[in-house]
Amino acid sequence: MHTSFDLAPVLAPLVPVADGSAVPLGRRATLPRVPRPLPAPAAATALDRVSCNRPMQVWRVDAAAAGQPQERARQLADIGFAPGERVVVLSRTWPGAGALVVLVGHSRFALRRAEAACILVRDIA
Amino acid sequence: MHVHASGALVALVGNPNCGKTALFNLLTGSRQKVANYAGVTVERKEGRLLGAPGHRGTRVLDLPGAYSLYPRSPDERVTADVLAGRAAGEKRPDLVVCVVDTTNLRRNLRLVLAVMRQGLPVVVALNMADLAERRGMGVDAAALAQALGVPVVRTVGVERDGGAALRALLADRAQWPAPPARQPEPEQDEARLQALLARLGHTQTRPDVFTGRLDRIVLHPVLGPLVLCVLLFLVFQAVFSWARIPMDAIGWAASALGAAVQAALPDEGAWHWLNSLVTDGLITGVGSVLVFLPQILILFFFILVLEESGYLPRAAYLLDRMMGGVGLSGRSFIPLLSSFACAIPGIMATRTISDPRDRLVTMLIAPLMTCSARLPVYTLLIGAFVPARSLAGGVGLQGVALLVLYLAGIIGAFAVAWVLKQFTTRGEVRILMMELPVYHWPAPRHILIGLVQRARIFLARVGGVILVLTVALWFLVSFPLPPEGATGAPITYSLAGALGRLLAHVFAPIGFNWQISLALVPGMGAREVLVSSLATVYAVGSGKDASLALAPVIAHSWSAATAYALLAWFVFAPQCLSTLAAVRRETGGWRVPAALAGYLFALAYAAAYLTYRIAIALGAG
Repeated sequence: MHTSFDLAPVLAPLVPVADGSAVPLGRRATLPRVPRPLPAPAAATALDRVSCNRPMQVWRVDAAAAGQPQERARQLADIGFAPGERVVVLSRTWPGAGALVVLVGHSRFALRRAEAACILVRDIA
Repeated sequence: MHVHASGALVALVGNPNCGKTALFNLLTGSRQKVANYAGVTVERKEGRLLGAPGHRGTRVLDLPGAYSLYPRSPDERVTADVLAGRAAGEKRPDLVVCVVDTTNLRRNLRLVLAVMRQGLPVVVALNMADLAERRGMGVDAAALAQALGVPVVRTVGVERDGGAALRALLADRAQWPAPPARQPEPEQDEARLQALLARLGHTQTRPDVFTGRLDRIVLHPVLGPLVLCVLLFLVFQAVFSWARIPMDAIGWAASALGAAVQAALPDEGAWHWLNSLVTDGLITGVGSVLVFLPQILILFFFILVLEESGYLPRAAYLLDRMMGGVGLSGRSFIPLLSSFACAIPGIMATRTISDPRDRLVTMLIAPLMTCSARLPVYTLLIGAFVPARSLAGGVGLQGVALLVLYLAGIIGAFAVAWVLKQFTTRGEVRILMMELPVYHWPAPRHILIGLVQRARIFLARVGGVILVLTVALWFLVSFPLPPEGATGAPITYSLAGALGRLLAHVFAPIGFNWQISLALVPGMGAREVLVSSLATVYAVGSGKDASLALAPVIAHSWSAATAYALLAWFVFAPQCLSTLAAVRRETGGWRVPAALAGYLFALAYAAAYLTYRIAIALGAG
């Protein structure tokens, strides 16, 4: 179990670049402009499909992709799901259904599956 | 044009669970006024700043918690409206204190930036500073003040002197800052926050280990519900049985006082009426109000402890699936559970449900949970009409009958909730997004303040109505007096008697005779009163032995179908004016209680009718 983690690179918002990967803001200028292979398919998933106790990073919040009204994205951003924020799924009510508890930043939130589906996450860089 | 109270107005704003309420208690002590905002069922808490006494003192308004000023619930809408100055009947605050949970700096500062755009003077209170320092997340108030451009004060909501610095600043108007300079656009907030946190060196942190460990049990798929069951059983036991002793004590004291006053006052002629008014009307009325207090205080004690410690949202999360199926929120469970003891504390407890629709539905179905006052009636009727046979496995038929009645109430409640869900949330997606705060020990001081508040609200708002209705009922059953030489019980000659005979026509199709119809009128005061009213009507005397003497009388004169129909009536009918008074207080008008009474009486009549006809068809007529 992590007892401390460095926040600075986590907080830096990720900026999608042309080849489909994402790069922390501020480091873009130093990367070689060589097309890279697309990342492995497991890179970006919806939060409701992530297994428990696996630290991930928020990529972006997309309400339309999960069939939710547009305001859902803003509501999720307001409670802390900002790009680059660290998230961990802590528990689910029972497997595959219902609600889940997510640690985002330093707060724990209970979300419905439909709400968690709006949050796209990827492994921590 | 609105005339507002004099004195400056300070508003407290912050994320939910940032310790704002504890800080509010520190700033205002127990000098708080609780009401509702105009036109909405959002609770409004205002107090006078301690150390600034008098009617020109500074008022502090505890605004509902909000994550941002883009409202996602009626609570957040009120906060946004009050800050913008567009809330109906509310004065725009003169100063805003942004209460920040230092352990959650990034998210809390987002709201601070939004508030700074409102054009009002802003002070930031770095709350839970002690927790943050312990976890290595301490923030230098001076550095933050310089970075933001507004004064920053360190506060600790749970310490006795934790709000001293803030209180001193608020009490001295000369120290209040000017409104902040024009702020950049909201799109830049993320970048600004990043730069700010980096400048503060706020990068190394430690998550709360204790909360994580406890949650592994509490949120466990198997252990979690187990812990919840144990806790709920404890709460239920407490409200149901521990309250018995003080309730019996109050009942005994009321009747002792009544007897003493009755002996002390003269009883002839005109004095008789006054005597009866004071003993049977007022003292009984006051007693019937006070008797609810033990259960209310015990229930709210547990609710406040669970809420302050941080467990309540976790219980709501565990129950979300089950309750969501019928359109209720997980937080409905405690009010509904306590309604098995008595619906009045349960209805008052619905304030913990933030969504107004869920709150209303919970209030509407709470009376269907079989409350303890129904038990004397059930015991009488089951004892007289259900044979004391033993079924296979040592289970008694009478016990099964009681269980059936309990289940009928529960199933009825969930069915009504489901029907209401079809009609009210069609197409509406219900959001959960509920924060589970960090666990911490509840402070006794805040629990005490909360309990005193709840008791005051009950006595002032609900108690008054119950008292008036009890006296009105006393009038109905006492006047007019029986003529000279009259046989039969005096109650049959009163207004209640006339009403009962009228109602007998209405109740004839469901098998109620005029004695039952008459007894239902005083039975509106409280459910258990039906037994003593029946005893009075059948002239078998009153007091504790009434039920025993009554059983053979009604077994002889009623048909079984009538008894079963009366049982079905009792499962649903709102024979309790106090419940309606409590609903009136919570919803701020008589419309909802009237609708509640209407639909419950309709359900009761339908259930009694069906039961009566089916029972007759099966040969029990």
